[in-house]
Amino acid sequence: MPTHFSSGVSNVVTGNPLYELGVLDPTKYHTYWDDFDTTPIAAQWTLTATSAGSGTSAITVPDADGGIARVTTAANENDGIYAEWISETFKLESGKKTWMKCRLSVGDAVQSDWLIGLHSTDTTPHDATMRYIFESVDGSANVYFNNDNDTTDSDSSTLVTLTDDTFVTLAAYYDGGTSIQLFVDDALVTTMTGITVPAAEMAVGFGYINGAAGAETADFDYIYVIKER
Amino acid sequence: MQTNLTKVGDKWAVEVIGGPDDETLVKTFSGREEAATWIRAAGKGEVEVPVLKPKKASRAKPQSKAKSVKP
Repeated sequence: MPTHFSSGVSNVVTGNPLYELGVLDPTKYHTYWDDFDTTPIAAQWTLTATSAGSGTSAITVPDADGGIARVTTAANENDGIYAEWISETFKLESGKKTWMKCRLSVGDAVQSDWLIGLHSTDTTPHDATMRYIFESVDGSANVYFNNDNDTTDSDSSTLVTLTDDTFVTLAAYYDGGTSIQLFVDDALVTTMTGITVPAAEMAVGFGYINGAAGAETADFDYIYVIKER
Repeated sequence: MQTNLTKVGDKWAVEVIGGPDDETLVKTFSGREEAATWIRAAGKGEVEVPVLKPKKASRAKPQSKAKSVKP
């Protein structure tokens, strides 16, 4: 049975205007949460699709429990689509903790390039000036974390080796200092140290492109980014 | 293994970092693409990943012998 706080709960101190409010003050954190119940549209996202082969690269939300942004690629190598939030709304800062968690499944774990996380706006986000992302590149099913502050480009060790069409949960915790803890399926895998996080605003972004000919799909289940204000 | 890619002068340096008890190792490359290719290949196990040496343990200073005092 859950514990019931019938008068509510609070995370503010005496004198705060929300002191008598019986729910937690959400303004203490900047939060982005997308469960992909609705299709990412161009009014909110910059969508960069490449469709050189037959078919059209696109993102749709199919009938599936939980909400999924499904990337379907056209049939040539390097066909696919990247979506980035239309504005850069997250800046990592020293002294402020940041959490990021996401869940995805890719159609071809080896023959694909994909990423998810935060990056400066760029239509080729793997090369964005600043990056704070999980990614995998063509020719390998290995997933690693990449932090690029435009001076030092840091990769973690391999976090997990993906299997085709199998969901994985990835998470990163920035401690507000120089460390990033990295998790796979809620288990700590490694900690990057001596890190300087990017010093400018970045956009939420994700995407998948083919590493070989043939139409593929990738499912992005959710992304959650939370930063202390 | 964590890698940090940085431009140093006209070269690109890849700092390879292991655990907290390992010494870091730096490999330099003439171009960024070459360095990035090495990082990707190391991640895939296609090139030999450097074995990092353990950091030398700091030695405690030997205690100075007490001077013998003549009776």
